[in-house]
Amino acid sequence: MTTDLRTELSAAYADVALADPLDAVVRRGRRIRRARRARRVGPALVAAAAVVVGVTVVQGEDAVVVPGPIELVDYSVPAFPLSFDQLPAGLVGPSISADPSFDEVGLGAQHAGWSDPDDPDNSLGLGVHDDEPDTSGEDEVGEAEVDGEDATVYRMDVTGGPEAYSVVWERADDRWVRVSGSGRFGSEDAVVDLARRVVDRGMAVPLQVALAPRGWVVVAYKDDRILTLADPAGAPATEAAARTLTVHLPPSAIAPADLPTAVGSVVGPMEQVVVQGRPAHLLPTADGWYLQAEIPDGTAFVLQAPADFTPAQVVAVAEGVARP
Amino acid sequence: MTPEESFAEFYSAHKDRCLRALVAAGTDRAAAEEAVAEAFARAWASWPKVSRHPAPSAWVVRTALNHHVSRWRRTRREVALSADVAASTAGRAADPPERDDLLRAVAALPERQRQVVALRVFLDLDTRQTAEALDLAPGTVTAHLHRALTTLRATTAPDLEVCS
Repeated sequence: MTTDLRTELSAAYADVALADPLDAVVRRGRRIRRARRARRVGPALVAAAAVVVGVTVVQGEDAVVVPGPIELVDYSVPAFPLSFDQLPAGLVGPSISADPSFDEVGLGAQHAGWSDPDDPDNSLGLGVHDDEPDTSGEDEVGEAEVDGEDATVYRMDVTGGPEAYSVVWERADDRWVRVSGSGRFGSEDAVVDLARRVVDRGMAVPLQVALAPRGWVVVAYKDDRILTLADPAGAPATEAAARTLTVHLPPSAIAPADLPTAVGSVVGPMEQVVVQGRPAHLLPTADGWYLQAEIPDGTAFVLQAPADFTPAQVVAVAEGVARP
Repeated sequence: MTPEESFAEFYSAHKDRCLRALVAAGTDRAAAEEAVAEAFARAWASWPKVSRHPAPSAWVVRTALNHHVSRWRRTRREVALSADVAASTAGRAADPPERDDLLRAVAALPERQRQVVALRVFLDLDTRQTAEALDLAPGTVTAHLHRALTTLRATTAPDLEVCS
């Protein structure tokens, strides 16, 4: 008599089962195919997108001569693609962010949120997704027509929280949109009314760079704190092997003398350089360049770039970092 | 058989086994469900190629593992395996205590050993297929399995075997 590992583990995991129905997986697979086709005809689609919100791919017309293996060109970060024609009164925001795509070097879900400073339970969200957003844990409570498309209304039951509803639909351009509301916006009528007020009018991303490597794409951002671009020849930005250029504004600067220790994995001497007319510090690390500098109002920012940038190119990109 | 029919048959036969392999390999249950569903969707998106793969379920699990290990997801929701397994087994009063011990011992194995055990047990892969799925040399797979079984025998069941 022996203990059979296969029998024991199979019995132990007998209740572990994938609940996703076949048709949902097939629909998801079709979207992946569509995305691949779209990438193959990318230039045409990029040109179309440029009409409204600019391009996520860095395609500046004028190369900026900063010698090195990377070609830097003029650039401005494209806007968050949608907004409301009129925002309900009493809200502050938006707080906008974008997560990287898991499938390709590009943006995944983008989200804008507004809230009521007098009552944070009253909030409003606008999401833009490449794939159908995850609604697990929410109850489907209704249907509506939004911009000529069939939309589904969901209710989220948050114990002890305010009423929260959302409406989800797929636009003609294959993007999925989700409008969510809570508190005084937390009703089926309120979210459907708000969904019908979504317009193709961009909202500026508040952290900008004026120069970027040609062909690279924006893959993530969060308000005026983080901005990441990635090399499309590399892995998706969700993977460690991605080649990325990231600007972020830390809560506070690190004292220059402490930088080598704080940054870690430093592989060469720290250089003092000048960025935007102020002293800055550049360190070569095992993961690439690490630059700490300041924008003109004295706010510190950090720029991280792959090691094949030249020091002059890192400084050139940093010269264009701004919070307009 | 149409491509749709063959994929439906494949999905029905392998979806739970692939999920169990990923969970047993150490992936948090919720993340594993997402990763396996995504991997099957990608399998359908490339079905002409994947259907000719010598072990399509291994392709799915490899894709799911790759999907899961992204650092963004790690920072968001990875749950310590030992805690996850302990929590999931705690509710199963009907399980014999020896099985709980075995599960905890599997959970305590190094990651690669857990993955090898999971793929051999749930997908019934041979050494070469397991090596391909995990991007390891066949000899490394053999070594991981040997070490895993040695550990499990020493800690839980001296008579442990992987029967067919």
